[in-house]
Amino acid sequence: MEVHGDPLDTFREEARELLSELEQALIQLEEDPTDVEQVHRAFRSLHTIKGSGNMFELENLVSLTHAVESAFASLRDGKISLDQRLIDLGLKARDLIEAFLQEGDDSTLLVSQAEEVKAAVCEIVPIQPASSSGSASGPSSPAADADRGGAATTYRILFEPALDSFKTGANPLLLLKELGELGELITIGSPQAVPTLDQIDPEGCYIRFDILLTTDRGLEAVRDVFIFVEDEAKISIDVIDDTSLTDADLNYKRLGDILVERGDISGAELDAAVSRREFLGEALVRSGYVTREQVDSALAEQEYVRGLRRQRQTGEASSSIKVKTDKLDSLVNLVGEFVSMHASLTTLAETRHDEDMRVLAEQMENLVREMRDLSIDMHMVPIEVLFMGFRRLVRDLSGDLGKSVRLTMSGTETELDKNVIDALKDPLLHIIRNAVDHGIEPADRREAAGKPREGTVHLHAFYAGAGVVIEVQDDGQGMNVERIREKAVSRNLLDPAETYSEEEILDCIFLPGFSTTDTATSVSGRGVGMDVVRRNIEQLGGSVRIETSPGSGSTIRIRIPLTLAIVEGLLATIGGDYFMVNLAYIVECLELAAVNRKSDNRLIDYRGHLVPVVDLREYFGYGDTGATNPQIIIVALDGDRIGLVVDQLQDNYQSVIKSLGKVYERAEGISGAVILGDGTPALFLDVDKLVRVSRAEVQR
Amino acid sequence: MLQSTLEATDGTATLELAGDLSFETACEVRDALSALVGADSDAFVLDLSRVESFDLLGVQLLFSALHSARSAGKNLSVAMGPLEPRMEKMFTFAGLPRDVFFQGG
Repeated sequence: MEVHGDPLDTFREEARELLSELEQALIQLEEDPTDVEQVHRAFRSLHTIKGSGNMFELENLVSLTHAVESAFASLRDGKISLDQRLIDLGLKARDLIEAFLQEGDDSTLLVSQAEEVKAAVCEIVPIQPASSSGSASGPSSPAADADRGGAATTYRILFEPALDSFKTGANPLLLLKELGELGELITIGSPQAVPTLDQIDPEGCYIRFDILLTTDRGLEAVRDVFIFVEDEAKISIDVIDDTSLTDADLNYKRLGDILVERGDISGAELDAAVSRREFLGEALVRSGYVTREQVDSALAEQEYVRGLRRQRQTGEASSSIKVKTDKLDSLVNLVGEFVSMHASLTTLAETRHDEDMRVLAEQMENLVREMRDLSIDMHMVPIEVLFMGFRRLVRDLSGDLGKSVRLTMSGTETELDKNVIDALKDPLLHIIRNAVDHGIEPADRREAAGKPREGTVHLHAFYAGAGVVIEVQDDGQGMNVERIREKAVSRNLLDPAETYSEEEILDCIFLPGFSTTDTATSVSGRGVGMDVVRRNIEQLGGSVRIETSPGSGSTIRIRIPLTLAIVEGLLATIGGDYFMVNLAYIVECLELAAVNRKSDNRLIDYRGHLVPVVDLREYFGYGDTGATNPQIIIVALDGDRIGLVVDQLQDNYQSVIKSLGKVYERAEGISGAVILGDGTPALFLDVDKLVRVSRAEVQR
Repeated sequence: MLQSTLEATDGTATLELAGDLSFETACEVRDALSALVGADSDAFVLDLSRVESFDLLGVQLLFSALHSARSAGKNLSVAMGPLEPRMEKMFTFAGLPRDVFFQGG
C-alpha cells in the first residue's frame, strides 16, 4: 500500500531547498550587487515559502518571510537600493526560517529573534502587513505576483467594455496589454455588435473581446487588471483549464458545449442544431442562433486548450519527477542485493555443473549490469550542491576572523553518489574552516608578503578512475612541516631518532588531538576535526592527503569512490580466506614466479620500473600459506604503483560493500567486507592504505 | 487631422481618406463614411492608402461602414497598400478579423 507523506514534511523539504536558493542568491548578490536576477531569485524563494507557509498557518514564519520579501520587492522595484544590511538580514532571516522549520512556529526564542530582524528590515523599508492569502497586498501586487511560481491556469475572460470606455480614458487595448503581461494571451475581438453608421456613437465602444489567458499568477491578479472598469464593463472570468486536469481531459469540450457555457446559445438551441445532422457550427449559424464570429471564437478556444493539454502531456512525459532519496536508496540497495543474488546463482550453477542454469546466469549478467549502472546513475548528483553550501561558511568565517577570503570552485559538474556527497559535508567543512582560520593570513600580512590582500580557498573536483578527487587549495601561509614534526615528537607520535618523509609528518595532523596552534580560536585549532575528517573519509572507502608549500599555501586532496552502492572487484584468496580488490585500481595480474624480484623481495622489476611489493600473506600475518603458484596484483593510485602478493586469483565479483562495524573500523589495510554468493565473507582491501604503507617502507 | 474626398463614377462611389482614423477624428470619419454609403451607387470603395494611422475607434468605424453597406445590400471594398506593421499589430492584438477589409494585405 502506498503511504503518502505528511504535507507539512513535504513543505519543510521544499522550503529547505528554497532557503538554499535564497542563500545562494544573497551571496551572489553580495559578490555582484548589479546582478538583478539574484534579486528576483531571492524574492521568488521568499514569496513561495511565504505562500506555502500560509497554507499551514505558520504565522511567525510567514510574518518574518513577508518582512524580508517586502524589502526585496522594494529593491526589485527600484524603491530602495542594495545595502549590505539587507544581505545580512536576508541571511539571518534565512537561518531563522530554517530554525522555525526545525523547531516549530511557536518557539519563543525564535519569535523574539524574528521580531528583531523584522524591526531591522523596517528601518530599511516600511512593511505592509502580510495578507492571509499571501498574495494580495504589498509586494504581492499584480506586478509582484509575476514572480509567483504557481501552477498555470487558463481563464476564459469575456470582456465587454462600457460604451463610454474611450471617453473615460479606459482604452480596452491597454487592459489587454496589461493582461498580456500576466501570461500567454489569445484575444478574439468581436465587431458583431458594432452598429451601422446611422446608429453609431462614433466615440462609443461596441467591440467585445473573448480572451483566453494562461497564467500562473492566480485569479486575483487577473481580476486586478479590470479593477477600474469592473463597475461599468461586463466581465466574466472562468477557469477552463489547469494543470491538475489529467490526460483523460485531453480532448476538452465539444463546440456546442463551449457555446452553451459561454452563453452564446441555449441547450435547446444546441439540441435543435444537432438534430439537423449538419456540421454543428454551420447549423448554428444557419439557424441564426450564433454568428460566424462566435463559432470561430469557440473553435479557437477548443483548439487552444487542446494544444495546451497536448503540450502539457508531452512536457510531463519528457520532464523529470521528484523521488524521495530514501526510496532511491532502497532501490539501489535492492539492486545491490540483486547483484549479490545473481552472483550466488552463478556460483550455484558452477557448483552443480548445471549448464542451463549457467547460460541463464550469463544472460542475466548484462541485465544486472545495466540495472546496476542505471540505479547508480539515478543516485548521482553534481558536487555543486555540496560546494555551494560552503560559500556561506567562508563568508561568515571571513567576517568573524576579520579576514578577506574568496571561495572559488571548479569541476562543480562532477557527479557523485548522493550519499557520498552527504557524508562529505562534515569533513569538507572542517577542512575549509581550517584553511580560512589557519591557512589564509590576515590581509596586512598577505600584503607584506607580496600577496593579494584577499585570500582564496579553491574547491576543485575531477574524475580519477573509478573515483573522484576533491581538492581544497588555499593560497595561505602553508604548513610548517618542521613544527609539526617537533609537536609530533613531543607527543611521542614520532620517534626523534627516525627520519620521516614529509608525507608521514603531515599525516600526524590526522591523529586524534593533534594541533600545532597554541591558542584555540572559536573556529578551529582544538585539534578536534582532522582525525574525524580522515575517519569519515576512510569510512567512505576514500583517502585524504596533504601537500603544502611554505608561503604559498596547502592542498588537501580527498579521493573518494563514485558510489558506495555496488563495487566491482577481483577476488583473491590468502590462506583459504577471500579478499577483494577494487577493479578500478588494478593494472595487471602476474605470476609471482615470473617477475624479477629485488631488494629482499620488497621490490619487483615491473616493465622496467622498480615497483614496491606488499606481500599480503605477510602483512595480514598468515605466514607461509603453502601456495604453489602465488600471484601478484599490480595496482595504481595517484601515479604510484605497487604489487600485492596473494595465493590465488578468483573471479571478478560485483557486490555491495558492507561496513566492518565499530570494532574493526581501524583494521589497517581493510576498508569493508562483501558477502559472496555462498555466504562466505570476503574482506575488501584498502588499496590507498597499502600504497601509503609501501611508499613509507621504500622511503625508509 | 483628416482629409476626405468622395467621388462617384460608373456606379462606384470612392471615398479617399487621408490622415488619422482615431478618437480625435472619429466624428469626421463617421460623417465621411456615412456620405460614402449614402451615395447613390451600386458599389463602394474606401481608399485608405493615404491613411497614416488608425486606432481601435477608427477600425470600429470601418466595421460600422461595412455593416451599413451590407444592410443596404451593397458591397464595400477597401483599397490600401500593405498594412503598416503597427496597424497590423493592432488588428492582431485586438483579435479582429482584418481579412474582411484587407484581403491579402
